[in-house]
Amino acid sequence: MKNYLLDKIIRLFVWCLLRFSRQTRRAFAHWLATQIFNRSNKTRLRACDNIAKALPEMDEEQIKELALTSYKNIVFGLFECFWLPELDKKTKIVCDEQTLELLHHNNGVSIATMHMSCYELAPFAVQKLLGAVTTLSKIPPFVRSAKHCYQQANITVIDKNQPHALLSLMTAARKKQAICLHADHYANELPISFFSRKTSAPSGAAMLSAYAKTPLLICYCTLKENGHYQVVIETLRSTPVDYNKAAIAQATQALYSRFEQIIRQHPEQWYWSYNRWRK
Amino acid sequence: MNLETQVKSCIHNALNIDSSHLTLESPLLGNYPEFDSMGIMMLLMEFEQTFAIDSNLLELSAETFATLGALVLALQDVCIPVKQSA
Repeated sequence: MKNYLLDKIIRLFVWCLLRFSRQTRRAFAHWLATQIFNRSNKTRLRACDNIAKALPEMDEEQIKELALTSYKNIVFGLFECFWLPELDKKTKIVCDEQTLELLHHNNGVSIATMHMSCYELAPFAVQKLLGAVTTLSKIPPFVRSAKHCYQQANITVIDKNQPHALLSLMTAARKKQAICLHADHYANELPISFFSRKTSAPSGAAMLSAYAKTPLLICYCTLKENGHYQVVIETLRSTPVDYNKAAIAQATQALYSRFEQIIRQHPEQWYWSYNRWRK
Repeated sequence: MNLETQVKSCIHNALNIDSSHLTLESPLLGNYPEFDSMGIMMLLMEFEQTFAIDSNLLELSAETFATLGALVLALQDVCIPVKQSA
């Protein structure tokens, strides 16, 4: 009952937001992000701590400014996930020829995505290019209507909370579908080094490349000054990851090395307040 | 070595689970934390190497991995045609 009511409240909230211009929605998202950032010690301190360790060349003032800016971008990006089709004309997809060829080969691709800006624009952009995409998402029980948002955006979503979600994902990979998986979050699966710190990472994207024998790509989204988005899709490996544990581990580390470069390029777009380097 | 013994050996090799006590009725998926995403993938790899099969032929469903018996049956369907052609 509680989840049902919360879901209804969230739907009402989104409906109210949609009555306003995108500029107003952005202003509200930034205001809300600032309130949370200033009031939540955990959010603020974790973001500042993560940035300080990853980018030690920054001073305290710069760290705090970056932490707040990135949090504002993430909150606004999260809001915008509820109306992805509206962003169609405000999204530019950047993709080199080799990557485009791999995407259109109709042989399936495994795409590692990042929590940057409006991160669900990544699978949305892929479905724009290919007509179909499958993704995996941990949909909270109190936001059941999120599935409807994916449907509206023509994204097939497998709910991570459902029993045997992995088997559904592997079946989709087997059918040579394009699969987008968030790959920059913490998971106790493979040890990696990220910003010179030891941590663990999910193996999903590299593993699916090995299992389904598909290329391994990276896709990330950034918000530009003019309020438009740029979604970049690039090739990490044009040939499938070898089907063994060592190769999957190596490919996952290669992903993270590339993630680090991307985050250094666009530090204000990544989700710094997430507990990425947990023990 | 019969198929059940071979499958138990694959489970041990891939997932580092002591499979000696497993019977055909023993539950697998949901019963062992090793049966996570990496684990299932490793097991499929082990099956490919042990039985010289394409793991894509194996039905990917919760029922297939529910018990040892179900897994053995699923492999039986895939392995027998390979043996016949050999």
